[in-house]
Amino acid sequence: MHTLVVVTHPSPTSLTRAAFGRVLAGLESGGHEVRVIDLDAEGFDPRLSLDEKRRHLDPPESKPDLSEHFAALRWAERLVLVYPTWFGGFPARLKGWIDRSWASGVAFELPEGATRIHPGLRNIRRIEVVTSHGGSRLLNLLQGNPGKLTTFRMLRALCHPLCRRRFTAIYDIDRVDPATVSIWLDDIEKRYAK
Amino acid sequence: MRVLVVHAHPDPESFGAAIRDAALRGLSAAHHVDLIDLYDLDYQPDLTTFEWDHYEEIGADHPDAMVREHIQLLKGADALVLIYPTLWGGMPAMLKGWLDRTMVPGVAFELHPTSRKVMGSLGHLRHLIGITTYGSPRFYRLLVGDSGRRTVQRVVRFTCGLRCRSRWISLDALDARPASDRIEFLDTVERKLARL
Repeated sequence: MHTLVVVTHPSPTSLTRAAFGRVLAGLESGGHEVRVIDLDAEGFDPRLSLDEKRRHLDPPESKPDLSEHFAALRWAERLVLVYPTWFGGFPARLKGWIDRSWASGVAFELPEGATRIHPGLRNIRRIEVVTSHGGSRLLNLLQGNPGKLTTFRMLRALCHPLCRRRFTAIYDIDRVDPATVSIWLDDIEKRYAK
Repeated sequence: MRVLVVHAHPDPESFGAAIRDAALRGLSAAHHVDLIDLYDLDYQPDLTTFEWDHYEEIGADHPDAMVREHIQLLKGADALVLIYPTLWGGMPAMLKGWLDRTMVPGVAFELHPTSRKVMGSLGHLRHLIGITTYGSPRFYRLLVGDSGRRTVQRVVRFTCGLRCRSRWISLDALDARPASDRIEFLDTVERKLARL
């Protein structure tokens, strides 16, 4: 399965980066075709600029600096987002990747006279998240999991109508024992090898 | 009261900028207002590797002068007002990054020394106000959920004290609105903030 993995974490020694390594290891042993967007390695600027905001509905061909991101989104059958949950959701870098790369003519179409956007990423049949939380599962539940909501409702609405979801998460990362973490990491590799 | 207004819109001539100005008009009569206009400041919203490596103690003496100033403003504030256009159901990266970098341990929350539980420390905030515009109509927003509102009124709200009053001021289906609705919304923002 064509799998696009998008990752962000500023620290190479973080749990998120470890999880990312296990996702890749799993995908490789499962024989999947993989493309990676490492937002930190490429120094992706998450800020939607004034120019981009004004050209919001222009065709994707007019935004050559994002063309590789557009191509990767169109190629993917599965999208995997790997990130640390901060303040309930995506780090700025990942939010900005969505603000900028899920562009008109790629992620959605807004035909003349339409009041809302039409899906453009029907090629994506699976949308998945691998994330770590500092807070407990209960706290995140009470806070309404805004990051999960963004992925599984907002983004999924632009994918294939039967697009499947999978959320692989760990909670309380400052409190759990190392054995739990290593079980979580092993489980990620197993999941992605299938 | 000291009111901290944080605004994130790339376009200085946008309706978002008009909302910011209406908020400032409403507040300035009775309060001391500090404005952080993130696009104006050319703010850098990514938490750096250094900030991550020193996450638990960085709030006390931040190496970035701009973030250090923002931390002081936030610590001294009695009210926090966040103004942004909703993109993909939530805050633009610019504002999300401001939360990521400014609301660090020792500023917005503490980690309990033994249990390592997260405890909010924005107890000095008496008001938390979110102001946003949505491109989508109301039914669509309800259908896909409002993660921006949850981020402000639940995640950030949880770090504030019990006496903090939280309010949400928003306008749906922005692009489909006649000019009169927009003007009315600006009046609403100004009036509500004047009564803070």
